[in-house]
Amino acid sequence: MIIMKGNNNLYVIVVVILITLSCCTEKKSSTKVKDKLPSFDHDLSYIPYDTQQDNPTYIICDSTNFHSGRNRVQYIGGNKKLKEDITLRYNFRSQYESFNGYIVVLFLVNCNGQRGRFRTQSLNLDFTPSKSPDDLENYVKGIIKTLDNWKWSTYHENGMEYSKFVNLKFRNGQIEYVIL
Amino acid sequence: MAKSNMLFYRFYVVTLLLWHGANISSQGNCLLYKEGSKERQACELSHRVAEYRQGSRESQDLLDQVIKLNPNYAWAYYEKSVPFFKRGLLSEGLWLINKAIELEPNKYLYYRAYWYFYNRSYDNCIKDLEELYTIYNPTYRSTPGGELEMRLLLGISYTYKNNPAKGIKWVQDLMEDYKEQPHLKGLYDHYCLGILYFNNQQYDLAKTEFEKQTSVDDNFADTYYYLGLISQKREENGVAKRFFQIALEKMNGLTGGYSTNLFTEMNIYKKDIELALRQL
Repeated sequence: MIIMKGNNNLYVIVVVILITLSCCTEKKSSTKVKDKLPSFDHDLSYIPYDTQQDNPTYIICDSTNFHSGRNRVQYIGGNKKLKEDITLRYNFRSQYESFNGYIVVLFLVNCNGQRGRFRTQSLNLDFTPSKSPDDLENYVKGIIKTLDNWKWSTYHENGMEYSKFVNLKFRNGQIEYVIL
Repeated sequence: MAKSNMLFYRFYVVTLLLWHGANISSQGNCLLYKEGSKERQACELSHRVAEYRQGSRESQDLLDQVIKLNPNYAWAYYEKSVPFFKRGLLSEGLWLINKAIELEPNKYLYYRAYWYFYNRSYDNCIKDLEELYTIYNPTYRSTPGGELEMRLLLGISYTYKNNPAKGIKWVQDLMEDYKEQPHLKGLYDHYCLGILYFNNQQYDLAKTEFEKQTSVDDNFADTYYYLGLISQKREENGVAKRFFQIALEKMNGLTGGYSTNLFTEMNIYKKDIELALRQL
């Protein structure tokens, strides 16, 4: 009887752990391929949590109510200042020279006004997915993370959450354009 | 007589905008499809897209259903591409708009050209707009936000590709069209042509265009900056200083002034004006 009670307790603990994990772990992004038709199983503005690269304490208030921050989230001083700040931090390395294309850096601004869930995508000049040399994607992502000169629209006071992207066009491994 | 002309023009502009909107941004007339057909069902279902936020999962699912019902429905691919582009998912957005263009190039080439321009892909922008204007010759087509006629983007793209003369020619043709339909002229057309002339070192022509721009809208700060640069090139530093000061006042929002982002590298910032003033 005592043994049975011990087993029941263990069973309850395992079930509680499994339920807790299922509640608190967000699903990874998956792209549904319907005859190659790009579709996401979440709001396009949202970036799902990834245990491999995201801070688990970064809070999202409502993953179903994200807004595009293309116009609502801006860099103080505009494109020109952003380009200056990025190029000041960017150190060209010879292994980047072969890269001609784009690196898009995406991130979220949560309900507390904090940035997080940074992602990158490399593209060829024709906008097809590509692979950039060595650590260039991570290097660029690191630079964008260090920039904190952002402002967002007053809607943010109501806890509105945004997605934002910065697109960098490279020519021979040098940043040619910074596009907001 | 002048009043009746004005009323006619207003009526014409409203009609044109409605027609333009119906042709560019709408799902089309569902009654044109056979009753009960998949095309009709897709068209009718597509009207529900307005119920959902652009880019939401519900909106995506609905458009997927529409496309499944009618895989040849160009509008649905276009509509689905919009939030992808706006959120930096460029590869996916391009895949979708390419499908729309395969089906109806006359309607959707402008939209791809706009995103090419936005992403500083000037060669591709030129290719699309040359095709649009030489083959389909639309009456009037602007950027999705309505700021600029697409031939202005074509002109600017040619300037970036070191062929300003060709860009200027396209915008001159646009200005010719406006002679017949002056009500179609946009708020920044003279400013854009002024910039093209300026970059081609045709300063007298540039000055004329910038002066015309001030008669269209005397609150746009950037125009005064370029007028200052032209005066500076003519070594009229006193005049240049006055223009830069006006530009700065307008940029600071004084006397109703403003600046706006026309999404090119030619945008002017407060810092540029302050620098110009210091260098006089």
